[in-house]
Amino acid sequence: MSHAFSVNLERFSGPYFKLLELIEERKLSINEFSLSQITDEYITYIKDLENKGEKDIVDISQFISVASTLMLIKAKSLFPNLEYTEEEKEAVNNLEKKLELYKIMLEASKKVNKIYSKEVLSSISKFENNESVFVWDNRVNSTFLHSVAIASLLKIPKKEKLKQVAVRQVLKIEDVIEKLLERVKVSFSLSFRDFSKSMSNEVGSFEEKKSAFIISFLAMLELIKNGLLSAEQTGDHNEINISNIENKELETVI
Amino acid sequence: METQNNGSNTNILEQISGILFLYNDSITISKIEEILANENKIKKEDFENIFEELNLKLSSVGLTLIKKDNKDFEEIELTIAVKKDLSYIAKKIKKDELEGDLTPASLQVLTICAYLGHTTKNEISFIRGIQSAQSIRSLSSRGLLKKEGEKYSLSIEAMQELGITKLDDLPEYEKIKQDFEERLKEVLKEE
Repeated sequence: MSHAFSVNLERFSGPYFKLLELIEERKLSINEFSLSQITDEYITYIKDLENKGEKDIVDISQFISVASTLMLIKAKSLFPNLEYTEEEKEAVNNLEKKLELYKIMLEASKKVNKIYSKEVLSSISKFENNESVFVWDNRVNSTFLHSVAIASLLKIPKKEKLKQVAVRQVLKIEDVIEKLLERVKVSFSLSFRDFSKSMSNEVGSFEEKKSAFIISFLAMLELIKNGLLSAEQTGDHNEINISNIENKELETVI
Repeated sequence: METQNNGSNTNILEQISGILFLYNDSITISKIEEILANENKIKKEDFENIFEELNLKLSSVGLTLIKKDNKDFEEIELTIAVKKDLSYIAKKIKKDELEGDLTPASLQVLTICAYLGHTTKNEISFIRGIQSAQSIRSLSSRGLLKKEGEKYSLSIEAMQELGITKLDDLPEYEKIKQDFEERLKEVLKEE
């Protein structure tokens, strides 16, 4: 059981690995544009992680925290009018820089892999037979053996406590999408502002509300993309009306 | 016992190679001095010459020195090994005990330790964006990482496994190291 656990953990390469993979698949360089291009796919990837129950193995909050910055970038790409706050600007900038750093490390690791275990400089010690032998001498009595046993027990590595969740998960994307669907089923047509307001009432701080807003927005885009919702904006800066596409009457209303 | 050095390094060369041969493991300068007692203190300014001369002599009989530099002269580690050109011989002899490849995660951790030198568990996890304790533990248990205090670096065994006699022999060492350090500093500044 614990063995399977460790193997699974080793398999994971973390959020930056996935991001870089998505960017490089598209032959893009690391910048805001490329990040906005891969947001959807990255979100899908996290959802898969959640569905497979991998979140029990890997700390999904590390993925989510990257996702929230990505959503911000995506929102900005869709709404150029949206101004980043200082903090947000830093988060975006920081993500780009950390990705650059990660990339250098990854490229270097490929070079290291090419020479690893290829032309080994062997020493005598490598061929030594390390089998331990027990030699009885006059120190050996029950007290001595007992003290040795205690000493070896103390040397057994203790299970390290992993750092608990670095970033709190505000909302799950699924939850948001589900709530959005429910709302739309009940009410005829709904404005995005109302909806996101009702979402952000559920969580606490300003920061959390803001990310709840962004998650709602992306959830809405997701549903529109999947054809479950229809959205209409009658003019610049006007409210966005959302409605359920399954209901044909609604369709004509919009 | 000859304590006269008559201007040549012969005596100390023989002593060091003897110690390296017998010690069967990497050894620090301070440990070598401890074994030699006060008989032959290694002077910092002489060390490079001694090292080069011994390396040259060993090279003519299929051996090489591996040196892991350290800011602290006394902590420089040395070991004696079979030259790269002869690695095929070692492969034949230890066919059965070939260790498996590294996982991508372990490879990344090893790379960070190789180019950054002394680095902490937190720094490694920070760069990788994911908890790396598991990989660090697995590399340490394979003897590929050396831990001093909270800091990890490549062990001499790892250098042997990579076929390098000094850290400078790593691919594009200076360039990657500099790039790596600068960018890390930049990101940390903003955290």
